[in-house]
Amino acid sequence: MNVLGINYFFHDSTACIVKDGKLVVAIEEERLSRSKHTGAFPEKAITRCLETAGMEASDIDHVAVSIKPDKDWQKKVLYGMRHLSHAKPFIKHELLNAYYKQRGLRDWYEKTWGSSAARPTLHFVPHHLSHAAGTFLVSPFESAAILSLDGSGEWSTSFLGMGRGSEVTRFNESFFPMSLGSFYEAATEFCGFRPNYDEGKTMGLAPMGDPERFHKEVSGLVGVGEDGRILIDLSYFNYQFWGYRRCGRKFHETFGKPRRAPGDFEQHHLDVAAAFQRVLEDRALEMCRLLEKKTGARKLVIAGGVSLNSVMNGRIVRESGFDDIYVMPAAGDNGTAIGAAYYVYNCVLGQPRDFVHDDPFIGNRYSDSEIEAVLRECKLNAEYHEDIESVGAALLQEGQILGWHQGAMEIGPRALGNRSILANPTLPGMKDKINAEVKHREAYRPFAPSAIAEARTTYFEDLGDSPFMLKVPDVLPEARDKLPAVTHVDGSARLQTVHKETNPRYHRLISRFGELSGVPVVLNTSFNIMGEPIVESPVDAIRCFFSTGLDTLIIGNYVIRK
Amino acid sequence: MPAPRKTSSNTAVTALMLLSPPLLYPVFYLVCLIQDTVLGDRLIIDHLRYVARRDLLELFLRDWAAALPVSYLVAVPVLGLAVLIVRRGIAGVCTSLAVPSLAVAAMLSATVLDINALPVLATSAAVFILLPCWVLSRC
Ligand SMILES: [Fe+2]
Repeated sequence: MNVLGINYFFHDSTACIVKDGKLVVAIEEERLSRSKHTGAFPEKAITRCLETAGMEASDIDHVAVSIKPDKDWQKKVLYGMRHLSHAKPFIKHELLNAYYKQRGLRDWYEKTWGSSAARPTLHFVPHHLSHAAGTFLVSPFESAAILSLDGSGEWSTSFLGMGRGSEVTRFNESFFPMSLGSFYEAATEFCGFRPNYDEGKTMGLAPMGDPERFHKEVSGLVGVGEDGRILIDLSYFNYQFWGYRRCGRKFHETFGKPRRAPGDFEQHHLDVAAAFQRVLEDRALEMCRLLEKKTGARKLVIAGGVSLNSVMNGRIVRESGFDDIYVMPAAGDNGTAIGAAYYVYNCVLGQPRDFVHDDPFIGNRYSDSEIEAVLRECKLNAEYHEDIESVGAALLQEGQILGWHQGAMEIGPRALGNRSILANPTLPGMKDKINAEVKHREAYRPFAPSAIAEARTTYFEDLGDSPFMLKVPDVLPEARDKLPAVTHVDGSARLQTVHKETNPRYHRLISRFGELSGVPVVLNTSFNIMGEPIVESPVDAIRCFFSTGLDTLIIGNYVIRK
Repeated sequence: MPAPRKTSSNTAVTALMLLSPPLLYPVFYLVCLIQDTVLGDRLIIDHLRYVARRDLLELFLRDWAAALPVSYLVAVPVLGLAVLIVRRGIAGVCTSLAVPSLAVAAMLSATVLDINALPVLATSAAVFILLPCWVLSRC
C-alpha cells in the first residue's frame, strides 16, 4: 500500500511516499524550485519522489494532505466578523488564499488522475494532528505525551495529548490568535529579521542579551491556563489581524525602537530576544509539566515549528522530568507531509505501526555517472579518490572550508552531513571566516558541531542523543578551548551526533579528522548562501562553490579545487 | 382600504430604521460571547480577561465603526420586512414565541452538531429583529 503525503498550505511545501509502512522518500519543494521555504504546490517534489521510489502516479493508493481547510471554519468566520475593522486582510489570508490553495490541489489531482477509476483516496488530516500524531507515530516510543506548538494551522496553535500504540488522544488545543509561535515571531520582527522565517536567528541572538531586563514584561504577555491553553495579551501585538507588522504600538512603547535591518543591534534588541526566548522556554516547560502530570508518561514527543527551537528542547530535556524526548528531523511544516501520511496509514487505514524515523537521509541521491556528467558539462577537473573520507579529513585539518555533497539529501532545515559546509572547529577564527567569506551573514551567528556519537559525552553535556541537531547542550567547560568555532557565547552548541548506522561516510570522515586533530568533531553548517535553500544537486553545489569563499568541493568521491 | 396608520407610528418606524442598525454589532458580539463562554472554548472571555480594558474598548469601537455600513446594509431591508409583517397584522406574539425557540434550538444544535457559527448568526439576527418588532407592536 502506497501513501503519498503532501504539505502545501502555508510554507515548506513537501512530498513524501510511505510504501507498506516504510518512509522511502521525502523531498522539500524548496530544494528543487530553489525558493526558500516556498509554500507553492510541491509538484516538482511529488514528481521527484515518484521517480526516486520507482513508481508511477497510478501506484499511489492514498493521498494524505496535512491540512483540513474546513476545520474550525466557524471559529474563523466569527472571529473575522467580530473584527470587521480588519476584514480586508481576513478575506485575503483566510478565505481567498485558502480557496486558491484548495483549487491548486484539486487541479493537480484532476490533472494527474483524471476520471480514472483507480484514483487514490484523498485524505485531509488536520494540521496539528499531522504534526502531533505524525511525529508520535514515527517516534521510537510505544507510548508518549505529545506537545505540538506552531504559529497556527487551520485555526489551532497547539496540541497537548497522549499517544499509545496507534492511538492518539488530544487533551487540549489553543486557537489563533493565542499562539506561542506568533508570540515568538514578534520578537523576530523586532530584532530586524523576517518573521515566520528567521526564528533561528532570534534563538541564536538570545544568548547575547540579558534575559532578566525585560523578563517581567515579557512574562506578563503570555500565560498557560490550568488546562494547558495559551493566553496572550494581544494588546501588544498586531499579528492577530494579519497585519504586515507583528508588533503593536504598545510593544514598541515597552521595549523600545525595533531594529531596522541591516542596521546594528542595540542592547535592547538582544535583551528582548533573550527575554522572549526565556519566556518561550518557561511556557513550554509549564505545558510539559502539565502533560507529565496528566499522562504519567515518561517519554515526550515535541512537534510543530516551535520544536525547531533546539535551545527550548534542550531545556525541556534538562528540566521537564521526562526520560527521553523525540523530535523528528523535519519538525516544521515540512514534516507534516510525513505526519499526515503516517496518520492515514496507521490511524485511518489501521495498519500496524512499525517504523521509526531515525534516518533523515531520504531525499534524492546522485550516482557517480550523474556526477561525472555534470563535471564534464561544466568542464571541471576533478580528482577521484576511493578513500574520500581521509582526503576530506586532511583538508579540514589544513584549515580548508569544504563543500561536502554526498549520498541522499537530508530532510528538514538542518544540513546533517550530506549537503554540508564543513570546517575545522578547533581553529578560533573559523567562525568569523565562514560567516564573512562563505555564508555572508551576521557575524554573531554560531555554527554547529557534528560529533561522532561515541565522543558525545567527552565534549558535551549529556542531554541524550541528538542526531537531528534539535537539542542544544552545553559544551563541557574543559572542552570549550578545543572547540572555539562551535561554542556559542553562552557556552552552548547545537550538537549533531553522527551514527555509523545512518551515515557511515560522514562518521568515517569525522573519525579520520579525529585521528589527525585529536577531536572527532567537525564544524557543520548548511551548504547554501544566505537567503537560498540548501543545495540539492551537484549543479547547485558547483554554483554555490564558485560564488562563495569555499576552498574545496567534494561531491561523492570527486574532489574539485579552485 | 385599510386606514392610514398614525403619524407617530411612522415616526417610530423611521427612528427604528435609523437607530437600530448600530445595535447589530453589539448584539452579535454579546451572543458570540455567551455562546463561546457557555458552549464553546471560552476563547473570547480569555481574550477579554487578558487584555487591558482601554485597549479592548479601543478595538471594540474600531470594529463597531467598521461594522456600521454593513449593519445598515443588512438591517434596513430586514427591518423593512419585519415592519411589513407587523403592519400586516402578524402578531408580535408570534415572533416573540418563534424567535426564542429558534435560538434555543440553534444553541442546542451547537452542542450536538458542533456547528456554532450559524446559530450565533441566527440568534444575533433573531434578537436584533425581535426587539424592534416588539417596540413596533407597542406603537
Ligand atoms: Fe505547522
